Amino acid sequence: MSKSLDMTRTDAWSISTDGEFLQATLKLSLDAEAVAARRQLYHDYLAATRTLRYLAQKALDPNDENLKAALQKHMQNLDRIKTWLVDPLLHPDQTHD
Amino acid sequence: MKQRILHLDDDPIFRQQVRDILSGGAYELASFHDPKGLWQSLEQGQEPAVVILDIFLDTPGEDGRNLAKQLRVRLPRSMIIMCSDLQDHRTVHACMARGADDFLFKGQDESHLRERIDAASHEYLRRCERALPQVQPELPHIAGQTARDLAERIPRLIQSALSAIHIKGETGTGKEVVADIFAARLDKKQPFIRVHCGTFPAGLIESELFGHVKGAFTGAQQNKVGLFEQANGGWIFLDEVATLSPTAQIALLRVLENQELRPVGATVSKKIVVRVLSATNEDLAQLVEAGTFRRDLWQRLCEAIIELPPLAERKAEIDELAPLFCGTMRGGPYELSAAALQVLKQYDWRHGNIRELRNCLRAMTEHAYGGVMSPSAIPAYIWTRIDDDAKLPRAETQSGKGQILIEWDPAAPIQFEVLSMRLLLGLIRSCFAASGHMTLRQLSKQLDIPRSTLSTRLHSLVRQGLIEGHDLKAMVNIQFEPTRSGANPDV
Repeated sequence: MSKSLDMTRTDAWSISTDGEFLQATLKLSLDAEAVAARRQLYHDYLAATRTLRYLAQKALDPNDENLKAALQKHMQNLDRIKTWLVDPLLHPDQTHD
Repeated sequence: MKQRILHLDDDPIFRQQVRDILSGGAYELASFHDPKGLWQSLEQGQEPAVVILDIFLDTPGEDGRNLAKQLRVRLPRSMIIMCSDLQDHRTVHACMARGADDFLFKGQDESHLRERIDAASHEYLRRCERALPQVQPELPHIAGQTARDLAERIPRLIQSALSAIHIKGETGTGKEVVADIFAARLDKKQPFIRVHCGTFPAGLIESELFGHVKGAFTGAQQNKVGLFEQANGGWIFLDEVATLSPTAQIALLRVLENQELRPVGATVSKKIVVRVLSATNEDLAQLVEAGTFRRDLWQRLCEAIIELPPLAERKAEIDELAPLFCGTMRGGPYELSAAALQVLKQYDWRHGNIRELRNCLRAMTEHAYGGVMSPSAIPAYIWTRIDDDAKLPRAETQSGKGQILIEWDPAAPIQFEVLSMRLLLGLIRSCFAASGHMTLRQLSKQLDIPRSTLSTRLHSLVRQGLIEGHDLKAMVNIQFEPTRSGANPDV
């Protein structure tokens, strides 16, 4: 598997318990391709949050045919981030190596 | 007519957001989700005032950065605004390097986005006004007959087939002003790149002038476009060209000869069309004779020569130059009294010419009471020099007529040796009147007499009592050896 895909894998995380604490380590490749992919992910995150803010401010209908496809894409990006970054921390039992 | 704005973004929601921001009818907005649509629109419609480009496009084909580079060439006046959800230094720098005029962070609030687009639209109008064809615009710094003559000549030089023009003149005679006139008279689409040859370290000059490719040397982390390539299709101004190292001279000669360059580390050459304007305050012909400047490069650079005379030879221009400087100096406008002007015209300005005049006037503003600069404001060193010059022997030449008067005692026998020494003295005074204080080397060049011979004869002039040693030293920089009797003739 290419290093650039490390970020999409939960096994980038190493999570263990240390007494009453949870110890989480995130190992990220410094390979240029992997760095660029993380940068793109951050871009996607910003784009998604901006879009949601805009929809809320304008009270637009998320089911509007013109917006639906784009919104779905943004939501998928948020899901990717959730899977990779948030889930391992909130559900460490599913992330153990 | 409404200004046209083109917007390219693969995100329909941001496209709609921009439509909302620009609603109100001030602009004619066209949105595109892929580059193809944008190019088609450019083919058909009027020139856009603003092009808003998303950097990261999901659609196949080019991304916004490459498009910006192409659009910069295609639309030199239009404002190109790049936008992205990322706002880091690297992203912004990458956009500006490709010719973008501004960068928008998509996450900013709408009023801010609107302000930036309005500002871009105003800037476009300003560019259009600047680019309007004007009939020989009067440049603010043109003052004096020399500059006016040049302002007439330079358009002819630009229109000619000349590919290299050299500006020759002492320091402070206005070489950079000539370059300014060149730049102002060029078609706005033609680049005019200024290079001060003395500012580059010897090892980097080739990389700066001709560019380099990634990995050509340690630290060359990416391709670099050289100054010559940037000037492609236009002019490059090589200031202080005499300071070029021998290696750089050879490289420059190759470019001028073949009109092609090879960036450092590249394997293939690139064809370019660049015309060269060069300048120096040194006499290139003398440097060629001395072997420090290549003869073939000198010949290539001097297809035509613009010669700027020292201010001492065009003192009448002080009448125009001084008021120009006085009117534009900080804290001004100042007024120069007629008496002060007369005093300034007695000074020779040989150390800095027009720059020295400007600096002197600046110094005078310290004592400009009520905004008027009178003779009392003139710096002391100017007075001292004028006094010294007044004490110098008058030249026995009748300038303009090409005559030198030689006087002798009619009662004494006419001796060729004595007359030839008097002739030499007349020639020295004539040279001094024309060129001011000279080194022995300069004088030997002017008179075409070997330096050692000239030195011997100068000593003879003093020994024979034809001139006092200190008077001779005021004209020529020469050290007198003690005489056999131990006396120094110039004391």
